[in-house]
Amino acid sequence: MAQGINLLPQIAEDEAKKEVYKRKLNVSSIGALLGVSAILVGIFSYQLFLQTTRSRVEKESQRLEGEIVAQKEKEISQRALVDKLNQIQKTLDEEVPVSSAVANISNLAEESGAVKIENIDVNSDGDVSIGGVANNSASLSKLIKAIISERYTPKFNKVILSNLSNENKSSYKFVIDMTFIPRGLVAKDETF
Amino acid sequence: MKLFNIDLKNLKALAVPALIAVTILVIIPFVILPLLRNVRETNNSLNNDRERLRNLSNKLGTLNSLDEAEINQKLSEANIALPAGKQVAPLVVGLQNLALGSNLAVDEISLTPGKVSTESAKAATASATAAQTQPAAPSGQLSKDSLILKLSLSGSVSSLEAFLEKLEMAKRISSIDSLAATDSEGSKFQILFQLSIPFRPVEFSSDDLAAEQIPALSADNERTLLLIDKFINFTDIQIQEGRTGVANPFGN
Repeated sequence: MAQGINLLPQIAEDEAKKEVYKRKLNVSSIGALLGVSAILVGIFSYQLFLQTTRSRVEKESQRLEGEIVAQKEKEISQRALVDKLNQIQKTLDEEVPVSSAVANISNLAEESGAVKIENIDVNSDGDVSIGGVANNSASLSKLIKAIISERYTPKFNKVILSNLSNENKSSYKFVIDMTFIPRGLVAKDETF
Repeated sequence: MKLFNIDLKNLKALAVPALIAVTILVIIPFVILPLLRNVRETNNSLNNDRERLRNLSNKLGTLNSLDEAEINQKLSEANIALPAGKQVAPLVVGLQNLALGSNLAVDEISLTPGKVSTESAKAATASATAAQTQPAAPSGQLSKDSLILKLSLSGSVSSLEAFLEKLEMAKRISSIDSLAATDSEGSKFQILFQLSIPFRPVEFSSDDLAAEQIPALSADNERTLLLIDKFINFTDIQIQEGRTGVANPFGN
């Protein structure tokens, strides 16, 4: 028995669906275009806002710069003052107090009795070399003991008897190398 | 009509969405992304400008709070300790006075003048006792920002101590590079010094000085000022400088 197939209504339904899809596609694509346009407008507006703000900030900066330039002399003086004081401070803090080194050497010689200091060399690193003559070995021993004593240890270190010779029967010629430790021309506690 | 089995009628219906899709695809990389880059750059510049404005504003506030007269007074004090130039003449005469005041005989003062030797320096050096100007130190010793002076003195160790104490407590700061004292006769020592006396010209930065913050005086700076105020000013000497750059400096 033959079966009849009616194609016409099916085609009309497909067409109708296609129309709906087409409309939806059109609407979505126009929506996307509008969305992109809105983003573009937003970006443009933000860029414009940034540029306007920037130009306002620049104008304000120029105004302040003008006021600062008007006080240029004051600024240069202040910079020079701080720079100089820093440099002075550095020198006062780092210098070897040579007067103290010489005074200590002089005291050491006096305390040791029969010791005569013939030459003193001091350099900017604090290296000290003293040469002299001790009338006897006891005086020389006293001098060396004094240098390495607790009293002078904070002041002198790396003490080396670099040369010792017997001048005549009892006197000794010596050279002692050492390092003077203190730094700073004005001791912190006696500054004020 | 059908062409290669493609329904052109259907394709026509897709033309508008396709065109829009192409437009969007073109707009994103060629318009939106460059614009976003611009926005980012402008934003960064704006942030920098705002930061600069803040710095300028702070700096102006600091500048307004500073008293120019007070700065100048402090600077003149600091200039005695660390002058902008070498100022050799008062220095040499002052050192000579300092040595004589400590009972040290000045045998010789010589200087390594650096690249430019001023006439006043030469005059002062020549007048400093029976000075015999020694040849300048090797160029390796020349310093751009300090003057090297060599002193030859003679006297006792106690005089040397007194001189050193005065030198260390002198307003014009100096560093003793080397000291050699040799017993010459009895208790008299022949003393050779090499002094390094710094000076500091005012330097200008090539950077954005306007927005650079002004350094404030620290507590240590104030202490240093008070300290040097107590030091002895041995260079406070007025010396008539000779005319320079003329054939006859003594003529009218």
